[in-house]
Amino acid sequence: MSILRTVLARVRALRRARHADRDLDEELRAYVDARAASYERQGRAPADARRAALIEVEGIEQVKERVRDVRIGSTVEAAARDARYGARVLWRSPGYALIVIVTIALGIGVNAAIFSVVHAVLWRSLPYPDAARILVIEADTRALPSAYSSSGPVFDVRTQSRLITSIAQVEGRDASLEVDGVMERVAAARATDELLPLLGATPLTLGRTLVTAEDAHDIVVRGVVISHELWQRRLEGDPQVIGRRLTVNNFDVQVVGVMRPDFRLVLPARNHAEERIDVWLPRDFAPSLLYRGLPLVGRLAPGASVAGAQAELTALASGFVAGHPSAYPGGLRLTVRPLGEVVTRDVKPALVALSAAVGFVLIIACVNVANLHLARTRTRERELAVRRALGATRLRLVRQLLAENLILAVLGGACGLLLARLGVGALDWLRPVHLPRQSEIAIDGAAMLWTAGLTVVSSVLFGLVPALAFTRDADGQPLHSSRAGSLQLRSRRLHRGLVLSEIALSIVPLIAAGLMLRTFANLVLTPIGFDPAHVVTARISLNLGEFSTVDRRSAFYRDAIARVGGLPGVEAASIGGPPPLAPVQSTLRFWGSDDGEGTMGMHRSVMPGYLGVMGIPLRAGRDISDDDIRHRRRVVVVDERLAARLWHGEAVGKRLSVEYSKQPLEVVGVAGHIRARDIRDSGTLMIYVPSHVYEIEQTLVVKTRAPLSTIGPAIKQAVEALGPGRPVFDIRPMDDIVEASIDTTRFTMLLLSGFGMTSLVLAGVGLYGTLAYLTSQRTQEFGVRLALGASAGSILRLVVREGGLLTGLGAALGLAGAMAVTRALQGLLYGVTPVDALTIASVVGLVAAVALVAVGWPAWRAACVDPTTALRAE
Amino acid sequence: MPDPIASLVKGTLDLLVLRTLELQPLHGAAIAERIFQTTRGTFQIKAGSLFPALHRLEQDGWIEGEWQTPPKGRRIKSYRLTREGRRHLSAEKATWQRVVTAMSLVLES
Amino acid sequence: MSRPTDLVQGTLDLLLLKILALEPLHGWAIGQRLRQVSGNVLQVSDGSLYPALHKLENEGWIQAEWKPTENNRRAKFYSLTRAGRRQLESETANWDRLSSAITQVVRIEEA
Repeated sequence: MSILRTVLARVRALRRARHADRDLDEELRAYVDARAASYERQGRAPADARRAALIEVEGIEQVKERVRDVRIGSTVEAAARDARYGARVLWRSPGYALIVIVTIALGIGVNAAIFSVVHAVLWRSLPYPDAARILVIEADTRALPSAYSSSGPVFDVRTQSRLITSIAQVEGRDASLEVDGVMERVAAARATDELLPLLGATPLTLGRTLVTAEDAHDIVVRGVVISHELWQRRLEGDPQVIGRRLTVNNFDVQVVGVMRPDFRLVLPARNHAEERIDVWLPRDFAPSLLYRGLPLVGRLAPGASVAGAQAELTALASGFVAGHPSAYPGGLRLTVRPLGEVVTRDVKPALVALSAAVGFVLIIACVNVANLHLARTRTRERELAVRRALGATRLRLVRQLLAENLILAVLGGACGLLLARLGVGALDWLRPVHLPRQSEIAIDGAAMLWTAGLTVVSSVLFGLVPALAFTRDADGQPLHSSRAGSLQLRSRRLHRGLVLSEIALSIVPLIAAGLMLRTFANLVLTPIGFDPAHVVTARISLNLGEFSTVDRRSAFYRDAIARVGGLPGVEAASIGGPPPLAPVQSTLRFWGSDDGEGTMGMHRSVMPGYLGVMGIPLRAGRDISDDDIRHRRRVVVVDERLAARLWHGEAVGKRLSVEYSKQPLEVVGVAGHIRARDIRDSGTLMIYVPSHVYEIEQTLVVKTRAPLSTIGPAIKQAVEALGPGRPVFDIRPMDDIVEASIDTTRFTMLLLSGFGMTSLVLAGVGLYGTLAYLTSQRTQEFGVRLALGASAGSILRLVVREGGLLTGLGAALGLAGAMAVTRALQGLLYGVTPVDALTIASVVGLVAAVALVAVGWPAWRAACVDPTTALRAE
Repeated sequence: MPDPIASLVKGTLDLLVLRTLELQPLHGAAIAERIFQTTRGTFQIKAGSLFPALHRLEQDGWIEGEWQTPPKGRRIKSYRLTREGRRHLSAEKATWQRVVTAMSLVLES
Repeated sequence: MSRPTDLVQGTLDLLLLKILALEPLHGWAIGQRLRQVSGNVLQVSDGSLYPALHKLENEGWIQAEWKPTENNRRAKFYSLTRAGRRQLESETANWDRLSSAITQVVRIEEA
């Protein structure tokens, strides 16, 4: 291929550029020698001949200068000329330029946005030194027996493993912080002293790190580490802050250290830790917590591998089980994985799906532009043929067309970058709750580089094919731009191929979006067993120093319910927690009299009326009563499914054992099943115990139709007015909690739908543009047909059939592709299979509808053509 | 559309050089001499025009330079026509024919 | 000795002189006539035409005169001077010499 040779010649010329000057010098000297020799042959003396030759050359340096001008000029000047010419050409067809720029901007914008997310969340290494060696150790809690923590020996990983050094325990939570009498809720973490050095946080900005030993009952004042931000915000960046007293969760603590600015804690979701921790509290290492689902963090010993550490843990665990076979009937399974992998585990499938979807959008955008570009190149046939005839090389024309594309691509890329910036801003609005490291997502240098790369690649993608196709066509026929039949045919085949692939490509993201939409709809429509509408939740943190006895606390709860229940607009109020579908749930094991293994389930600690406020139906028996609380009766209301499983529905009066109570509880009522852990999960059973049986931090639940803005402050004021040490915080509608539980799905669904629709619009525009163009090319043919007696209807049918055929074929190809791709979505779906008839039918219907519109208009115009105009169209 | 008359500026010299190289590869001085001979002294092309033209044609990919070392004496750079160049030359020739024909139409009118 | 580049400038001058030798014309008509006579091959853009006319006038080879056109609009009509006629002869001879030399090169071995 001669163009390749030309390019290679260029490359060789470039490579030689360094030697070029020396070569040129030599070349000219040879020239002078040759001229001198020629003069000598004419009979002149050697010296004279040489002088004559030099005179004739008029100065070697001047000649060299002129050659250099050619050499430099041809590159720089040609580039400038191409750019200038390209800009002028585009300026003359602003409609074309605009469509192309918008198309590329869409394609590149979504890619840059998703790239920045993927880069921050999946690819960038965690912000810790040697982050790849930080490990997470998890236990398979499903295999563990009941009451693991309180009975039987516990396997302490920390003391046994040699390949994992400095194993730390950390648990996130929020805390109430009081500074100078002003209270606020802050993100806190309790961590053993290994954690901060393990994560490379030491040395701190000020002071020392946490000391585990301070988490003991006889220590009066614990040392806490605070964040740099908190230090600046609440303590005015006081350099004398070390030793300062604060109140955290109603306990006196003193500041022993200040973290480095911008330290982020990135942990698996099950550690419940925020990324920005304000207060770090010391904690003692509790080996049993691992077996209740709290992952450990460790660092791989130098020279050890993750696989080695895994093998060591497996061996240690089986040795331990062998020593205590009766305590571990189900065995003990521990897994160890790099922190980065665990952190991104939950969001990875969604991000991969999104990346694929935006890839499709970009390809469609490129195909679209290629199509437009091909059509446009065809209309410029004459211009290009003339320029070719006047001596422009094919390379020059291809370069010219590529320059035009590059201008468009760069403008499109710049707009795309703006779009991506807006998109990343919109991420906050979409609230993907469990997207780790969300704060780090930004259009940064890497994203810019990616965008620039995409821009160049796409401009070549959509530009080169038409450019080469055209200039090859133009070769043999310099000045004739009559429409040769074969040329037309070839370009039409290319157009059709492009349209076909466009339709096929748009089907895939649309089906993915459709499946996510169905999943989301299924999640929203799934009966959850309770009614979150008009329920407001508010957490209460009791000062255990003040409310030291069960009776005091019960009395306070009763008072609070009465006060809040009496507020205007409140229909009913009660207390119980944690709220269903909140990220943190409380699990335990319970069993009936002859139920050996027991059931792993959840429990709520409630006050009377909780079921009513939450809209949970009572199927049999009665609710927890105030009498139960006053007399500290050990009663329980159980899930209907538990009742069915253990007692065939006849549950009232039966006895249920729970792991924290030596005496069994008496079943007094049966409640409807609710989905408390995850909307997708219908298998987790629930029991409701009176608040005196098991106490956890409590939540007020209030049924009210009053707006949150008025009822929220009213609730807080009503409770806090009862006295100090009972802050109310985190007031939010129950609906919010339910919604937040499916945020990741909603996030994926919304984005995929957006990308799917973008693909559809692009494909529709492409289909319309191409068919309109192809149809206009056939105006003459239609004119002849009409003149020969064809009806307008038959022309319409002809064009529609062509469009329909393309759409049908494209859709079939797309469906085949979708079958292969959507299987990867399996893990994200709920209540729908990847081969969902409804989704496929709707997507095909949608594409067909768009195609019909895109095909119909050019067809209609073709049918309305006046034969005489058509025949004159050439 | 560029003015065909103006395109002769560069075109004529290119035409002469390309046509000369079509027959055989030559080095710079030999090209000038050959043109001088075939035009019977009508065109004497100076180094200041010749070398910029040669390098321009080489960059356009129409001719290719190649260094040759004769048994004795200096290394010389010899140029030969490429396939692209051959094609370009036939276009140039055709243009030249058209221009000559047109010119005679005008001059004999 | 002339260089090929001289050919072009000379060529346009020659063409203009030749056209004006037949009859005085105004600028636009010169371009039209040139195209017509050369069978649409030779065209001259306004950007080249007017500077060339100006130069010829400066050299004293052509002269300009304001006259009404056939549409009764005033236009500058150019006509050849005596010096111009001499220049036309020498340019024509020059063209014949140069063009036949080039044609000679082009035709080598083909003749």
